[in-house]
Amino acid sequence: MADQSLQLDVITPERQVFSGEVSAVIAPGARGQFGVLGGHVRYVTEVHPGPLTFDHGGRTHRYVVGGGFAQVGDGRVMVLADRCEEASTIDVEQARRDMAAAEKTMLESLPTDRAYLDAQAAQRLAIARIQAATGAAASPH
Amino acid sequence: MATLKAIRKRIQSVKSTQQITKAMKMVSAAKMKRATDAVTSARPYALKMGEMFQSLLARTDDREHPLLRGRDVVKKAVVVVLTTDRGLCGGFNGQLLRKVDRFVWERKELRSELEQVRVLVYGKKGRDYFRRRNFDLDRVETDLDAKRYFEYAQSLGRELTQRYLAGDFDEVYLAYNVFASALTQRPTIERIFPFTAEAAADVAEPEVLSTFVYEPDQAAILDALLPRYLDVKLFQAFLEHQAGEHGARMSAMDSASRNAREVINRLTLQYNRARQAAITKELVEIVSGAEAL
Repeated sequence: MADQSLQLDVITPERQVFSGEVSAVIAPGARGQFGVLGGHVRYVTEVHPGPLTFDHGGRTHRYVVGGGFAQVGDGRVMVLADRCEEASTIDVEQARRDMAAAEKTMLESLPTDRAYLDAQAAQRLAIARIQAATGAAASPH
Repeated sequence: MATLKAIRKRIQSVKSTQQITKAMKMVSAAKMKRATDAVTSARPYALKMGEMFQSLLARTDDREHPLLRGRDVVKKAVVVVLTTDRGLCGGFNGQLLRKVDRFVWERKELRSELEQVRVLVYGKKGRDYFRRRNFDLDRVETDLDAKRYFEYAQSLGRELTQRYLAGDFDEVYLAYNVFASALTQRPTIERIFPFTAEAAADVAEPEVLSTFVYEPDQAAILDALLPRYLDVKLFQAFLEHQAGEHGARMSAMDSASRNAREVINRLTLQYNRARQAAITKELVEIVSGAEAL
């Protein structure tokens, strides 16, 4: 079963980021990273900010996704994310500044505030972006 | 008979009007192009999100979730209406506003327990319309900035959710123009709350549905998906509205330019006739003057 290929679609509100046949996908799920190969059980999960990697056309593609959802089933993987960008295009300096700004907001607001939650999500995304861009993110798989 | 000078002046003024309508048409065409690109590139996401949401709803007991459960007695309803700030876009606002007007009255007629139907308006045109007709205005948002549509959609989603849960409203509707093509916009009224599964039965076979694995679990996914789905749905409505506005303005300005051309043609004919009449009159005067000698 593992040699079956998968149809992967990555869609953000702005555009369809990727659509094509892949052999394996690793995505950040609600309970940490999960890997998908052909013949995976039908599965729906939340996607948290983090790295999305898959093999397509003989090389590994590395992306970073924001929060969203993923649906797996019948040889298809569908990732719906707030945002998604290729790791090589990330501006690390900008990401560091975003992280600093988010951490500042978190310090200034109560953990129950909407602003705190938003900042926390922004911080996680910034960390994921920095890790992906600098190659520091060792995949748990 | 109008004097030659007066006709010439009118032709000039119609010409300058035509220049403006032509320019507005071009600007709207360019803006519409960008807006339609935004709509069409956002549609797959909205569509997939909708599919995921509907398939999840099909497996959820709608009495379990406060946003899905309908209220037994509907006393207060609100209609969110998207209109434009500026006019000169044909029947774009008018057709939607009339539809909302009728919708509100029908609700009130049909259901005696309904005490209050308010309207929450985006755009000056809608505000003016409902003010004139003494509707119960809830909140008005004007001077809309196209770059901030996502923000509007998000804050509207949050506000509606909070107020629905707080019991401010028992039903929430959204009225906007769906962008069908540059020439046609379809006024639409959709129910936002309570959410309902659209034709949930034919999404897929029940035994197939049951094999999905959810992480963290079904309820948590639904809680996370609901607000996002709402954002996307509202954002999509704003995008459709925007593309529709420019499309409507473009076709309105196109027919205005065409009308101006017709008026110019008619006036030119009138001008030439008057000119010819004056020449003929002068000739007759000269000839009869010569004969008299």
